[in-house]
Amino acid sequence: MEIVRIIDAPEPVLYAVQYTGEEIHELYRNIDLWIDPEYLREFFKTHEKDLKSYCEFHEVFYSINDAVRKTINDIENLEQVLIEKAENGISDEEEILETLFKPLHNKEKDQRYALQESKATLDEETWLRLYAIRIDKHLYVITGGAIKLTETMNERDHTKTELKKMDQVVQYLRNEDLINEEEFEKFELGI
Amino acid sequence: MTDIRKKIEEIAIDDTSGWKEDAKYRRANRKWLRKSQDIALRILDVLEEKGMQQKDLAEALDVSPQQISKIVKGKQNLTLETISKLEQVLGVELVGVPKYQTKMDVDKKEVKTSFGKQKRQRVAVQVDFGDVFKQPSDSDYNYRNAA
Repeated sequence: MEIVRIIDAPEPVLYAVQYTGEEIHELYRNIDLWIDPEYLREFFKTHEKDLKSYCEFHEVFYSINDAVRKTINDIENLEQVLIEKAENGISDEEEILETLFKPLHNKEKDQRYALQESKATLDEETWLRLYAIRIDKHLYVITGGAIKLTETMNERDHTKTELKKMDQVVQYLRNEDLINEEEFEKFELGI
Repeated sequence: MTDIRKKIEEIAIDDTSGWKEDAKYRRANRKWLRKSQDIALRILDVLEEKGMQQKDLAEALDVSPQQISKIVKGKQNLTLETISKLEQVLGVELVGVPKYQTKMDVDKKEVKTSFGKQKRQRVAVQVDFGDVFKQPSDSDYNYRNAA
């Protein structure tokens, strides 16, 4: 796997994994899916029951096509933030966590991973998730992403896969002696 | 710089994926891309309703399946000609010009109502096109029938 620089000014703070066999890194690979109406329509049709449950839980209504439009809108809003940070830089960790991502208040059952909680920064709830590992102070590596319609990651195969990917990356980084264990933490970040 | 940061910088590679440029392009062209995405969704809905595959649509339009694939990914800046051909093959309206009411229509009606008979009047004509090329939303799928 490769580690790709995403935000590196004034100091490197954000990287993304590019898995072996993939042509692009995980951030772009997920963005590319999340702006594709054909892929999204199929996803929401497959997970229609989960979408309905999500709507009931959050007291909103999205048809399948509405869900597609909302996803495209959400990811484009995130991109704007990321690009601004990439071009202007990030100076501290609080800014990374509170202006780049919207951490969840979601507790995973039997989870081994700490969830960073902080105040929401975006106006709307979103089901888009990026998964990242903090390997050192102010240093994050994106390992993947998913559309999360369920309460916990273990409830669905596509989100369980993201947990496995994170573990795979952790193992790789540990083998390369690239983790400061004092700062190490896994993040499921809502965007 | 910490040891970890130095080490990861030594092995990291530059981002050559072009996602930033792609993101900027999509932001700059957001309006028509949204319409392209909506058209893509409508096409996919109609294909499913009719039990058609994308390759069937490609054959009917005499284009490659790759071309249809691009259209349903909502990235194509479709010409009116292409839209019309798609509409013809699919039998539905994909985009339309909304009905509008001119000020002349309003004044004529007011004159008839007030005086109970037709009366010649000079009126100013204001035309409100509203959302030109407004696409029917999911809720007004029978737009053409209603018109």
